[in-house]
Amino acid sequence: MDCPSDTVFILEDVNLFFGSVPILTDVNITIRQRSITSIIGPSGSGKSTLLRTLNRLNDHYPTFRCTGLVSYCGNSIYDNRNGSVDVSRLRQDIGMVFQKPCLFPTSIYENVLFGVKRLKLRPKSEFYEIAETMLRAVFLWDEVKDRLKHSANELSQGQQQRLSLARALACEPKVLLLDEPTASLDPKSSEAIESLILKLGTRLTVIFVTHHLEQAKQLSETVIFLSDGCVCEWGGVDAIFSCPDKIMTQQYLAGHAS
Amino acid sequence: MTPWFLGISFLISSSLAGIILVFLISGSLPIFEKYGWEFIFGEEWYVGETYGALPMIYGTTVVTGIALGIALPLGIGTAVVTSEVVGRRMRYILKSVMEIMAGVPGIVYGLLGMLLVTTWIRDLFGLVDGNCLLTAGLLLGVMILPTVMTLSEDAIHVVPNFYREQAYALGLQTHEVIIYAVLPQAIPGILGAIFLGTTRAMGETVAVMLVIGSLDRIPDPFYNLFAPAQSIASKIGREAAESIGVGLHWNALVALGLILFGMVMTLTWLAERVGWTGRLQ
Amino acid sequence: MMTSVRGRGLVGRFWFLLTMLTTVLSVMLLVSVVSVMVAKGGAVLTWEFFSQPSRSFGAEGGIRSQIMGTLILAVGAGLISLPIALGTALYQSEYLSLRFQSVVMRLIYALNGVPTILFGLFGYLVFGLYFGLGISWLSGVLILAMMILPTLVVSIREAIESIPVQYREAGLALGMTIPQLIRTVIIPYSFHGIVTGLLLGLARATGETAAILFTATTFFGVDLPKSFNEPVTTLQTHILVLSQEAVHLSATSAVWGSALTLMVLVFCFSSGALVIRSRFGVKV
Ligand SMILES: Nc1ncnc2c1ncn2[C@@H]1O[C@H](COP(=O)(O)OP(=O)(O)O)[C@@H](O)[C@H]1O
Ligand SMILES: [Mg+2]
Repeated sequence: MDCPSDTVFILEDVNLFFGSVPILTDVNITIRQRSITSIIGPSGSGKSTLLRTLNRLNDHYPTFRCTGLVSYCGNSIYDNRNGSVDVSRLRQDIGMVFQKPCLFPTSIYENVLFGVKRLKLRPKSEFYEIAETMLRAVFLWDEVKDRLKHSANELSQGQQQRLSLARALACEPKVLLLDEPTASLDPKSSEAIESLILKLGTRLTVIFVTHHLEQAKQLSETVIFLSDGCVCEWGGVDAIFSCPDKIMTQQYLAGHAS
Repeated sequence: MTPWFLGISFLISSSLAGIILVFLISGSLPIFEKYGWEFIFGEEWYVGETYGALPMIYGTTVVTGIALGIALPLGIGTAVVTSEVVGRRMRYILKSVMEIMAGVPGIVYGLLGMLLVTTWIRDLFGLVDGNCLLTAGLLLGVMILPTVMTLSEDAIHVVPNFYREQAYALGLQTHEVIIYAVLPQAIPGILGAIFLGTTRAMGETVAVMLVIGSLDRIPDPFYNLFAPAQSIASKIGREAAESIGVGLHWNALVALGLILFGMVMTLTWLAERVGWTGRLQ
Repeated sequence: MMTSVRGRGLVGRFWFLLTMLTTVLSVMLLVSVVSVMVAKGGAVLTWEFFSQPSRSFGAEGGIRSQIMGTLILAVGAGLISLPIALGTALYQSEYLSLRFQSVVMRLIYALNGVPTILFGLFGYLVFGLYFGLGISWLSGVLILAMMILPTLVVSIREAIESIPVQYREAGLALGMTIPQLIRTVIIPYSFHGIVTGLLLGLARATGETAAILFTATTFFGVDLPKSFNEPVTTLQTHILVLSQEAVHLSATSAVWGSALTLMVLVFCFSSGALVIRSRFGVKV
């Protein structure tokens, strides 16, 4: 789907609840196309919840509620009055990678193609080519090309995470959500993911959650800082890191630096 | 509670299966010495004259097959709905119903079959007699349904949630998530449930005995499910009391038991091969 | 806003309908089993029915001796099986290497797979003939005890395995020997599993017919056994015989009543097990 304007996501007066507990209130942010945005904040501040709101993954928690306007490419994605939102289609447009690499207990090859195959996005004849392209894109091809049929669980954590990324990319998403993608990885694998994020940011809209401030600083153009149940501050990376407006942001940044 | 007591208990429990096997083998030796393969492939059973087990083997296989034909689709379908579709409360209710119903004694199904189902089947299909393979299979199917369902549900429910989330995040719809991301991982457990249900059906005595018609003959034509027949367990149940623990008749019954044991153990072994180590009910 | 891909929604709806249909059917089947039993047998369940012995070939009187017989066999089996199962589970978890444990579990599963009628054959020969118990309640108790042993062992093992390692280590760190550890940590913390296993075993033993049919029971003429080598009469045998041979209408309704009583007895044990299971956080 093509985005008519420059903004991919617009959130206006959004409130997120689990049951009657407000997790985030009064969220007002916009996210530009082909930009890299990071979400930071203390743990439990609702980073994952916010991220998962964007592809409606929270729907699978029965108590989750969302009010306000969340629009993706000009369409309100929670406005389901006439059943007009095709959630499955929305999620095809929005790839996601989780903190813990989650591979299905099949081969490496099958895992890369999992989405493509199930969604019948491409003809069968292109499968091998897609697998190769995607694995190359995440710098995994050379490491696994001789054992594509092996179980994906043989791979190291770092490789698994890159494979998860390849699987998401194979569906040709316009947006990529990553929830602490490097949190369970060793430094070297983290580096690989980081450089991938930078590379992908030139053609996709990337939004990632992290608790490495350094990572947020280096990779993202925009930073969203969550704290105490609201978006405490958001804006350009330089503004937030060099002269944060709010005391809370200052404290958080300082606390992490020391 | 001193260790020697533990050791003795342990020895008893771990050797019982073996002791029973030895008992079955030694008890059936005379029959196999006299008839050899004829016993297994023989189609006639006249006490004092000839003993052939084929009709009973056939009957056991067919009723078990019918039972699975009913219990598998219903049980696994219900398990999927219980684990993946309905809410927590409903799941709890359905699970409880199934766990409780898994304990309904075989004799209760036998009674229901004998006094009700046979007449229904008779009238429904215009038969002379409702005691037949189909009736026995139907009853067994309902009997093992809760077991198949609740153990399959266990297997489906333990699939970690992040697989579902991952599949949803890729854009799969609920049914696709279940089919492609959840069920493949539950297969060992589901197979275990199926094997356990199958062994239950195979070994069931009274529920079958009362409705199968107890005719030691392979139906003609063999696919005629409306014909009366006989199963191994039912045969033993009918005749064990008459044969007093000695003589060829007894040996023949024990040999039937050995065949049944072999069938069941093959399934149990298969269940373990697929990695099933669930609870028992 | 966004168009669907090639009828996926349709497939989904069909799939959903199909699985829902199986669920409704399964539930209806099982509910109808219970409701038929209640409808047919409910009317005869009076105090007299429970408290009087049966007369005139089941057509008159009640099922007192039958209830007693069923319970004697089941409870007896439970009492014999429990210590052995407990001993087995403890020996396995405390004295055996992991590899050996899994071998033993296979043997236990094998025992569980043995069709109940074979326990009958085996017990008839061993207890009835070799031990000279004949057709007696003691034979029945021993046979049922063997039969329910795997159920108890597995349930107790499950509970022992779920004891957090720290508890065990805390005990060992205090310098406890294994028997002390068993007494102070393992048994108290797996107590729910022991009770669950016992109840499940009782449920199984209560409902069992084939194994005791020609080894422990008789249809008529006994109330409470006076010695070890006397048979009992049970609900199961009562139902089996009367269902095949009852001619009298009131005998038929007594059969339904007996079957309902038996089912309720089994349900009492198994729902007890269920309650304990869910209470102790083991998934239902
Ligand atoms: N499924 C859920 N049900 C109820 N509360 C939840 C659920 N998921 C998360 N929460 C609550 O929402 C808050 C934010 O969680 P999360 O978004 O995971 O935080 P973060 O990712 O920033 O660490 C936490 O307080 C958490 O307890
Ligand atoms: Mg999080």
